[in-house]
Amino acid sequence: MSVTAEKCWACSKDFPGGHFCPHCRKIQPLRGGENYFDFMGIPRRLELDPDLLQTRFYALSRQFHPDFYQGKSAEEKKISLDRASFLNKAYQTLREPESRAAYLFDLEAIPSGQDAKASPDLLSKVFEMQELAAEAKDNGSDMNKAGAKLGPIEADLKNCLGDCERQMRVLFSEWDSEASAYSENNGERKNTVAGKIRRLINDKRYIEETLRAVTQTSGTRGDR
Amino acid sequence: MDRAVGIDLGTTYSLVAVMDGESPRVIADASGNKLLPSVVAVDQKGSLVIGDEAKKYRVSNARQTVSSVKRLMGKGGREIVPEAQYIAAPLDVSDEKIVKVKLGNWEWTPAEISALILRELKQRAEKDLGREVKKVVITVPAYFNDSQRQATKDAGRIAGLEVIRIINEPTAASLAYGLEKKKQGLIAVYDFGGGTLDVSILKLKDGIFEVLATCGNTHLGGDDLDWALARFLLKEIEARFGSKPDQANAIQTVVDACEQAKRRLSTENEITLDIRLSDPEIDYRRKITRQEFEARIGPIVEKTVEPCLSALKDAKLKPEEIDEVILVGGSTRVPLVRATVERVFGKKPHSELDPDEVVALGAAVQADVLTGRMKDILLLDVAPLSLGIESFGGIVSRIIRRNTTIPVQATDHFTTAVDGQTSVDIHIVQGERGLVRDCRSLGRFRLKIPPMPAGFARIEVTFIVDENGILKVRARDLRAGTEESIQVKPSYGLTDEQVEKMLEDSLRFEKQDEEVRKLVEVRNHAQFIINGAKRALVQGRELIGNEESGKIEAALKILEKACEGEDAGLIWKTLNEFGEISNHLAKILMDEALREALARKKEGVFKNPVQSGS
Repeated sequence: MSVTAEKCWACSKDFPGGHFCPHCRKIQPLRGGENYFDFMGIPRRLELDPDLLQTRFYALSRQFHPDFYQGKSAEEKKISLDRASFLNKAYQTLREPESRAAYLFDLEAIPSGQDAKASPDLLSKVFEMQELAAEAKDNGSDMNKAGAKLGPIEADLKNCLGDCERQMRVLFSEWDSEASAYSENNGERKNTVAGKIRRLINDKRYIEETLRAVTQTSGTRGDR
Repeated sequence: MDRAVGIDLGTTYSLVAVMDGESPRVIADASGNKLLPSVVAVDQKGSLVIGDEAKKYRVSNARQTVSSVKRLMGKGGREIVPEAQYIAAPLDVSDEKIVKVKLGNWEWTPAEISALILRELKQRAEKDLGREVKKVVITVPAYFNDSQRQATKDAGRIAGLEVIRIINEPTAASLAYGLEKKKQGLIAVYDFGGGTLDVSILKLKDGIFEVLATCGNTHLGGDDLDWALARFLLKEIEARFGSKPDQANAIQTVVDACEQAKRRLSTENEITLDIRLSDPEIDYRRKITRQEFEARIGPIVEKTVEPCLSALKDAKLKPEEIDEVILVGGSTRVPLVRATVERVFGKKPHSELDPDEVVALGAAVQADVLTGRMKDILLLDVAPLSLGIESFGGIVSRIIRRNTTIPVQATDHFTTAVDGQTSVDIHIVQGERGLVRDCRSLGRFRLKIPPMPAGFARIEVTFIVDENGILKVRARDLRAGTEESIQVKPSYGLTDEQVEKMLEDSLRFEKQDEEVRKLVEVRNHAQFIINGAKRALVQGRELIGNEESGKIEAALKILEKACEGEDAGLIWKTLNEFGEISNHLAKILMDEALREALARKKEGVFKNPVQSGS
């Protein structure tokens, strides 16, 4: 990756990159600028095989975890802590589709456009749901009435959530094929796809938060 | 590297375990007891006693006995209100930062009391292994916060141990269980101990133990089951006898009876309680059925359901996806607890490994991993509680979310709110609530910055949670370009110096203990000599005459008098003097015996050999 030749901290020989020095086998400090995909040896794609990701995570954990550096020097202990921490963060980010997409778009410097707004259709559903939930909470006697209306709209929102996830999968593969095309002029198309994905992520989060809030309200109702 | 042992420092019992070849083993004391009651008391002579010995004093002298000290670990004076009822010894809650227990003529921090228990286990292990034990893995409830972990680590240091790792109890249990069974898949650990509840969800795969989520309650345990019944019985006693047992000793008697009842009702359907109290004298008898007991403890057991559901949710799993459920902690022997777990997870829970031992066994496994003996096992644990700093308006700005795999490092950037500000206060908090006042304050420190317009400073705050789950925080002013960075170890009230001091004190206690041991030894020796001399005087009076006999008798009296005192040196001195005075008699008797023996040999008569020495 780097043009200037780096040196191993321990044996001072040329260090070509990677996690360990090829000469003395000592663990190497993070040099800054590592990205999660390369670090974990995972292709830079949105569609990821979760089993592969987990296998890589476990294998690298066995190489970096502080448990295996107990008897080593203070320097190596610190490096192992840094590397294991970085690995944990990488795994956490890449594991979830939403955080993976957000991370990759940042990495690819995709400009954020006006794509953050939720669709009007979704907004009206969410508002209706919030109103009903508030009603159910405030007015104990009408609870059943409001609760009865709440049911179908909750189901409707859950459907929307499923739709979001399906659409996201389609867009993920669309992005991956654009990204692997190595074309000079597909930048605009990538931006468009990324914009759509970002909007879906926002919608999804919005729906999830609404559902959580409503479940909490009905949850407290159930307890009392 | 030195071998290390694993210690389960429990609310009611503590254990020490070690790897024996391929599998871990709990170390028992000389009488075969594996469980050491986590009880410390002061006996009539004013000496400290630990374990079973101390438990005897719990009823007769409740105010001089400390049990369940784990509930106080890492707690400040103002925090302990809900826990205070479990501690019969008087507490000093005047210090906001740290609660203290009054025992004997001293005030003790909970870490010091725990250190006494740890030291007892250390010695038990040393006796068993025949070598010094220096390194230890200590377990804590997964839901322990940073202060409680720090306090546990300090307790280890005060006991003269190097704590090579603090590990979570349910994780340790999974380790013992997974190693035994070579398990793969998703498991849930339901750990209902003496004072805490933990639920952890793990994925086991090829020697990796990955914690997916953990949830719990540090104010919920088996003690609460005892107390639920005790409160009910105390009311009944008051109604029946017209007087309320409110003395610490009386209450402790009732609570102990309830603990016994809990155990017996785990296997029997009906038992008879017989509680005798003095002052006022009360003989309270009553039958109690399992059903009645369950009615009392039902609400408490039900409280354990929510953490199960919460852990499942955080792990993004449904109950039916869990392959196996493991029970940990003595309270899981209660049938209602088992039934509740079965209901929540929809499957029969496992309890092949003794629920009292499984945590210590797991700690021993981890001790072997950390000393490089076991290389194919790796625990990947999580931070149980979210961590953040206070930002403008008393809001928590979260930096590390709960259930993040550790170790972890995370950075966030902050700025100033006022023109010309010359310092920034960094207030570190732990908890899931949005407002600082609802979270636990872990510590604060101040970062000096050059004056700048509001919003211009760029403060980088880095949180580092190490493999023990213990937090370090670093703050840096990026705009000023200074590399000034501060490392804070958030403290619950004990500074490093204080811990060092306590370690010294405890060594002094060790010296005191050593002195007590020497005193006992010399007394025993003197007693042996006295008994021998008395026998010799009967035999030898004729041989030495009355004058010498009188001298020896006088010297004997002096020696006996010295033995009544506490001065080991004086006893030795008197013993030596007595030796000189009685030397002549001993020699005469020896010659006499020799003559007799020779005479018998000639006659060809042999008596049975008599063992000499002790």
